[in-house]
Amino acid sequence: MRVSIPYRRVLGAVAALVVAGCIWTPCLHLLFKSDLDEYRSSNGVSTVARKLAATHLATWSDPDLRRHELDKMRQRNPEWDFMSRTYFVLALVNMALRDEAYVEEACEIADAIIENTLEVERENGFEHFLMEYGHSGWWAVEPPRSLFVDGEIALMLAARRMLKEQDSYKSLLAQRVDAMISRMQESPVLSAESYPDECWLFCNTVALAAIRMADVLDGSDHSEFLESWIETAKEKLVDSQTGLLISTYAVAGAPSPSGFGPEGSTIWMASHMLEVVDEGFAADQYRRAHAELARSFLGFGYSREWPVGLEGEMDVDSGPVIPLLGASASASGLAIMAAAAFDDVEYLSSLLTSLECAGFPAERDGMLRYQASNPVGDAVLLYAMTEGPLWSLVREGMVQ
Amino acid sequence: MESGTRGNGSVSDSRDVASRADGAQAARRLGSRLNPLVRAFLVRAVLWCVAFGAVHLLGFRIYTSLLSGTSSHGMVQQVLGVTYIVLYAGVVFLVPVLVIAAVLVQCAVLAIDSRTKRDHTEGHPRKA
Repeated sequence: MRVSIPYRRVLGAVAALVVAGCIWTPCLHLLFKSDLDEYRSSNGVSTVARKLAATHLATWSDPDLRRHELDKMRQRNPEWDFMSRTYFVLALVNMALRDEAYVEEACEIADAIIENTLEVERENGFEHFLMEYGHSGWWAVEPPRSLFVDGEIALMLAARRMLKEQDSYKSLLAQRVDAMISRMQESPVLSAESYPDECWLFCNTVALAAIRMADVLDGSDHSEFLESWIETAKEKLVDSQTGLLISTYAVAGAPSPSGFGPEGSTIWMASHMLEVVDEGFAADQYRRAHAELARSFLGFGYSREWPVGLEGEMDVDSGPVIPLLGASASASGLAIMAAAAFDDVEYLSSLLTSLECAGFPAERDGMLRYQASNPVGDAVLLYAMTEGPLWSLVREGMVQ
Repeated sequence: MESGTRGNGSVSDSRDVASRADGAQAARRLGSRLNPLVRAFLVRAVLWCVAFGAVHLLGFRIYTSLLSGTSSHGMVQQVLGVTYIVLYAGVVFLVPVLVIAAVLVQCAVLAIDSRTKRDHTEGHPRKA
């Protein structure tokens, strides 16, 4: 059969493009691969972290800009407003522990964030930081309180005090810790609600880390409670297929439909928080999460939101999940934090390559933002790039 | 002093004009030597880069915040953001593929040409 000349040309063009595609695709990630030291410095604050921090510091130093940014997030999800505060305070404390030059500014901004948060809570109630369904409904433990709010406020207070003692925060932290423990003890799975009859692993592990920090700071001893929580969780909150902790459950311990299995947007943070509660269990959870959720495609790392076979429904936490790959932006962002915390250099590097490719970093006047992210996402990234010293300090305190 | 400067300037200007003309001529010569398919690939790659460079310099990158789900941009800005993302994807993936494909085709053409010449030479041996 004779092939006509124009047809041969088209065939040749397509063949050339296919071969070129096969050559270029495996090399594409090299365009975005950067030196890890630019993100995480072994001593001091890395270049990228400084630029990201500059954006947040500018936001928190300007009341109008802060209101504008927080309002934008609140329109989509009031939780993001609250969580961006927590992650930024954690990042500030870690930055100041890495570089003394940041201490004054870190204390000042952390105080401003904590005081503003407490004021908003006093004026509007804890529901201000919850999504609509948290404003009404049946709370299993009365009077209603959200461990989401209590846990993260306690974490902020404790982190700030770890950097530099602030007497006025002592009683505030002790009250939160007492309130959290008494509510957690009312549940057979030692977990308190974040939303009506919804206990979130994310919030409960944050609370556990805050309790541990309070012990280190004030010499109290809740180690028995913390050990009981771990034992109970191993027995009642672990998914049988993966060995990973499930995300959401009722006060009685029954898995909730919204998070009946392990989720990337929860387990990465939970394993990091558990590092100061039970290091061995935390490392085991990280290893399992890595096996079930960590993926790399042509050099670009990402995290699945759910393990294969345990897919749930997309929600505001998971964000859009990419079909077939099962990749989620929020799970991947939190995976950056966990990979940094567990020194998983290979996975961290591949995740940062994806961030540079799809995050659309934009720098202006020494301030960096990832355009595809939002202030809470950027605060998570900043924390991922700075975390380490605070947890080391807590571990040292545990030993003493 | 001034006239000397002016004089030097005019000499260097005329050299510049001459070298630009040489450059343009060389580019034309190279273009005419390129296979039409190679030229087509390279022209598309250049056009894509120019389009991306334009939207980048115009500052469309900030509109990619539509991906965050919290941007307060209007419809027009969202279109600009999508335009940027499409052109960016082309620059990082399509342009290198077009350039590699151009190199592959040009190499293939040169290889075929030299083989044809060799066959031609072997078919008509020169006199010693």
